[in-house]
Amino acid sequence: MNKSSSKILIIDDSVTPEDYRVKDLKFDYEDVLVLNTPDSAVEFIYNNLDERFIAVLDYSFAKDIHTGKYVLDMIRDKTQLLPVILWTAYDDDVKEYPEFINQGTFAVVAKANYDLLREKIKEADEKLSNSVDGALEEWISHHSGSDRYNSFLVSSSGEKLSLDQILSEIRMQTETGRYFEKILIKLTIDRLMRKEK
Amino acid sequence: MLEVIIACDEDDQKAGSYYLGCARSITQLLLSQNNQFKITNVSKNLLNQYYIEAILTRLSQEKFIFFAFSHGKENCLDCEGGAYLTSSLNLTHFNQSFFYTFSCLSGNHLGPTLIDNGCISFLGYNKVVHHWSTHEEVFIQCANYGFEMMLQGDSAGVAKRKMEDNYYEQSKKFEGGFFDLISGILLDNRDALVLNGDSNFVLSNLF
Repeated sequence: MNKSSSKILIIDDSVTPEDYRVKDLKFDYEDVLVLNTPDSAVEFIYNNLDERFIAVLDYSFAKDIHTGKYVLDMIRDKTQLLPVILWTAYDDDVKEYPEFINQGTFAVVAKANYDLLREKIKEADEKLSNSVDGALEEWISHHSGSDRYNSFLVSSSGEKLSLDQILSEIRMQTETGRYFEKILIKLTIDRLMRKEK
Repeated sequence: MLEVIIACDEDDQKAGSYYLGCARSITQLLLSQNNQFKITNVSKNLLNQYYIEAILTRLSQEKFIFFAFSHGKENCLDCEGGAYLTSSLNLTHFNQSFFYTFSCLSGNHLGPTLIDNGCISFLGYNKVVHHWSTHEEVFIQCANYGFEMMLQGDSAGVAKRKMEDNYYEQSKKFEGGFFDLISGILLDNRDALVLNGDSNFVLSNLF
């Protein structure tokens, strides 16, 4: 079975790259990265906003003043597209559950339940595949020829973007990226209405 | 013969070939009309406000059509050398003219200002508009379709509606993968179309 092109980010101070869960997930996903502090996770995500990630986010960081809520806030400050799964230990005192929900946390999974974590990661991956950027990325990956590198969107305001640049713009939720999401959603609605007629 | 000015930023590094395609397509439409039109092309180094002002001054008191294929902003049309047509120019020169453009945003402020200065009708766009580099032909066809309809006798208002229908019909030909992007862009350009001024205006009003 082909690996998903999604990369998993495990943001947890008690997990190492040798963890059995990391090794297991690597069978099904492009890569699994472990980030042990909130600040290193935020920095990494900010430097790679144009990539396809699913974040598995611990709540408590023993040696850090920040909690997972800080990481989620920082992610959502830049993008709504990155799925975040909150991964909690049984003794975590998560005060901010309503905020986590409001910030679009994809799921909440107990650390003791690895099977459920795998299931939620798979659901998040499917959601990414069905999103605008996921669909565009899949199309781009099947077209290495002239369509990908020699065709551009050109605006009469002076902008020129390749397909890869459009994908980055969508992932980074720039004004141009949101423009593409909007026109594709409008197109989908238009086609649905055409079928109704 | 009716005077026609075609301003085209063919040297633009990103969209120049597209603008040139639009200008050539319009030229072919005009030339097919049995010498009814006298065409003045304004491009390259001549695309600046001084030359435009000089042409407009020469045409003072005459009726004419002005085509513009270039970048645009809300209150101007511009190129690498700067704005060549702005709302701060003496736009009274456009009294009794028809203005047709593919440019971003100019329908928001420049268009209404032209109408306030006597321009009969302005057909353009009020948002950022796009085209796809490997499929310029369909975007050129859509951009000029309205004028093609006006040459057949349609009023500006009817031509705009037919342009919208044409954008829609062309968008249906692109489906699947990145063709959905082309389809979506065509529909978005359609939604940005704007007509300022007299919707009942017909080209014969200029003769």
